[in-house]
Amino acid sequence: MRIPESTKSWSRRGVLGMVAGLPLVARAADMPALARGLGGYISDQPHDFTLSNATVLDHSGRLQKGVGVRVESGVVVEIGAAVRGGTDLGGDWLVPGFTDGCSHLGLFEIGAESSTRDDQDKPAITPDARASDGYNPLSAPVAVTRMAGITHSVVCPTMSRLVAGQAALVRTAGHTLQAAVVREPVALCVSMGRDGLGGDGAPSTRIGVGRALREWMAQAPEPRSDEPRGRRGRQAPSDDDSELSPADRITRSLRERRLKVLVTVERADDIERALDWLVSTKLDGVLVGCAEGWMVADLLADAGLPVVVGPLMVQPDSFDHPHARYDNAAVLHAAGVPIAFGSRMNHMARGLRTDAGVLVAHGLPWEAAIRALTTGAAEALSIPGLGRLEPGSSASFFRATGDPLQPRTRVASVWIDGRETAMRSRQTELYERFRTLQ
Amino acid sequence: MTLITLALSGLLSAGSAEAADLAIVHATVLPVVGSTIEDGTVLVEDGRIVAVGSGLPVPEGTTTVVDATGQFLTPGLIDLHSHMGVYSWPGVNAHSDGNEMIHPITPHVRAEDAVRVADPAFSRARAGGVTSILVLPGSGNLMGGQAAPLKLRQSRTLAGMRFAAAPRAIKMACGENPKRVYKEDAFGPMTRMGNLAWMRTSFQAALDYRTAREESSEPVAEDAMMEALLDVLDGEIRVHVHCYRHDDIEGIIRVMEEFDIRVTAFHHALEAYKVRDLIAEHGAGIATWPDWWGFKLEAYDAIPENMQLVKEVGVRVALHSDSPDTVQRLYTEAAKVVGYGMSEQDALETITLDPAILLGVQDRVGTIEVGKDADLTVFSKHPFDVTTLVEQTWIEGRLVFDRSLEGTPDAHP
Repeated sequence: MRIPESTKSWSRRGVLGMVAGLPLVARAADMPALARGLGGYISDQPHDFTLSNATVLDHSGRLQKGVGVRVESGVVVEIGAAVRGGTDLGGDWLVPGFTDGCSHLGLFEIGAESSTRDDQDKPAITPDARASDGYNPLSAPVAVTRMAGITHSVVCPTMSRLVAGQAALVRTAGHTLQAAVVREPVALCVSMGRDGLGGDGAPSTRIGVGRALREWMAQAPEPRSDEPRGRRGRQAPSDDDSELSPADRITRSLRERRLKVLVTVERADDIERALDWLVSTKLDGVLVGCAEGWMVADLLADAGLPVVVGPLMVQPDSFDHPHARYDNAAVLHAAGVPIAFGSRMNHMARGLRTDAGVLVAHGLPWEAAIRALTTGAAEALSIPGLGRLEPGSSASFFRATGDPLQPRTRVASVWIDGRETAMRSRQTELYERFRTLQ
Repeated sequence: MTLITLALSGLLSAGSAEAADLAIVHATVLPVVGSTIEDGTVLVEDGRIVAVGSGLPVPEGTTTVVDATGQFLTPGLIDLHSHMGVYSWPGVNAHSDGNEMIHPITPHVRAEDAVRVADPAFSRARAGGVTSILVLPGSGNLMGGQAAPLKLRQSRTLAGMRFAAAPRAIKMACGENPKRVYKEDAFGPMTRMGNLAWMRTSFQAALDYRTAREESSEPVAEDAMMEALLDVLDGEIRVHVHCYRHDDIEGIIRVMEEFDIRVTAFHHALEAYKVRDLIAEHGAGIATWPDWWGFKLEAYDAIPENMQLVKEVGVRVALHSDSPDTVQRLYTEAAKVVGYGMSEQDALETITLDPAILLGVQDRVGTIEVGKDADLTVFSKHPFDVTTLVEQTWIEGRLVFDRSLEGTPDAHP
């Protein structure tokens, strides 16, 4: 452990990001700055800056070479050849920040250590469980994920529950929940097929899943009066929420289509069941997974539902998705199904960009992969303002040495909302510690 | 890709080269040893490579000529850590054949006795350009059993898949897994102390058994477990140890050196970078993933520069899959390692030459050289381009995968 020469010099380093180790003594006044450094931001506030001589990629896959980007107060104000000065990127790419459309980021530190797992509640049906209650913004995988160009992540409780709880959109920097959590809930997570058979009171078969979901909906409060789904003549429940349990409030907002439902489903027949269930309950659905979506791509396209495809490399290794294919996303895209990508991982979420590249090898147009990584999740979940790199958009983007889908490409810097973040993680600290052996 | 089959003319003119069985022409050849060969030709006869060079003439009468213009040719890829066959697809309880957890020491059980030859994952691995694998028992036991070196030939029989030239190998384990699995019934190790104590006790028991067999006046019955341990002690079986943490690696080296055993490779070895000097000194290699981490505590200190740091000190580094999924994309995994800082040549070695050396078959596979098995992979683009696909896979001069005929194989019979 290196000890800084003085707390003063340490405090400066703290603002610029931690170097290695912690000081033995830090002045109390320096502590908040030190803590902010842990959250990954190099600068305390969004600041004005210019990056020039860049290759700028936008969410549609369009490339502009030799242009500059000017950022003011956290917002991109100008992109073009006329923007000069500032930092010369030497032709490196600037890429809109990627959004992981379904992850378990920051919900557990170590997969196999139950004492570090905060990714789900015990009961099988917990609409009032919130991902943000388990999210640790300083969990080691967060920085690792950010350094792969993922600036935002839809964090979902682990899906081994029939109704796992509410997903939160987080940005992958910031040392407090207040700084990290962008929005919650963005959707309620439900699993069909055999994915959701865990937890107390869980069904044990697909037959049980269908029954339990119908029963859950039957017990849910009716949508309020202006909703077309209310039973004719029935008086709408009071607008006063206090009579409802937190779970019922969430379920009612589902039925009022004020909240989306993220349904994880893999096998083709389960996708059919999910579509039937969404139609019969009139819920606003987004599907997750859909390993066998290619078999029912026409049904999905007709339903007009977006699909958060992932994990991208799902294999035909199980009776629950024996027909998984590499070209699933390509087929869905060609059928007109809007797609996003979700890692459904925590530590390994960083593989999203190169996994997307593999899908391109199997027929997905490169531009479609870029769109899925940038605006795909935002559009699927109706979250405005994410994944764009154009005048007026929030300055959340990253610098890469080339095509971000290529594994040989390195992510060099990441900005979130106009603030540069440190390319520093538990892993880089270990690397620095052991780069030379003493 | 055009596949031209020429009829055997039988009219070899005097002085011309002998007709080959197979010629792959106009490829960009990445031979792993030596530099890239543009417009490369590889000639194959009787399953072996007989000529490699730029623009070589194809002997008249050559049976099969593959025009690989614009494509890349590498040696068949090698995965030093696979459980295909012993945990066959589809994943169900009945296919759980990789951990004989009746006792922490089972050096006499053999992975090949459990391999499901019809595992559909094998065909997917062929579609990923993989030609040789080492199928290992799992890591529940300290000594999980003997591994099965296989060639991914299309075969109905286990015998048809054996890599007969490969030396015997055994899987051992330390760290979290073996100390966890016997915890419930308190038979077997419960701690890292127990792990290494059980290993020492087992090796000592084998030596005592040998002494008894040689010196006792009473006949001592042959014991398969002891015989297997003696083969390890005599260096007849290569030792592969599942080992994550750096002090576990150090501990295994300590125990093995007490018994004059050399470890061939530490598998997973996510903290190898911390003791790379000790590994080099012992003479072991490692087999690992580029960037898996965090799934358990002993995987928490993994860093993506691990492979590079370890290879820099002269240790052989195999990029392993440990997965019927990533085995299909070893080349993309290797490309990630380039992104993390390794040279392309070194990265290519981690999926070809280095695993060949650790498998003990470097005189047969792992490079494109005259005399070696014609295990070859044809890529549509550079193997480290993420949008590349394996077009053809050849094993001993036989086509075992052709994308133009079948696409990516599915999991059906």
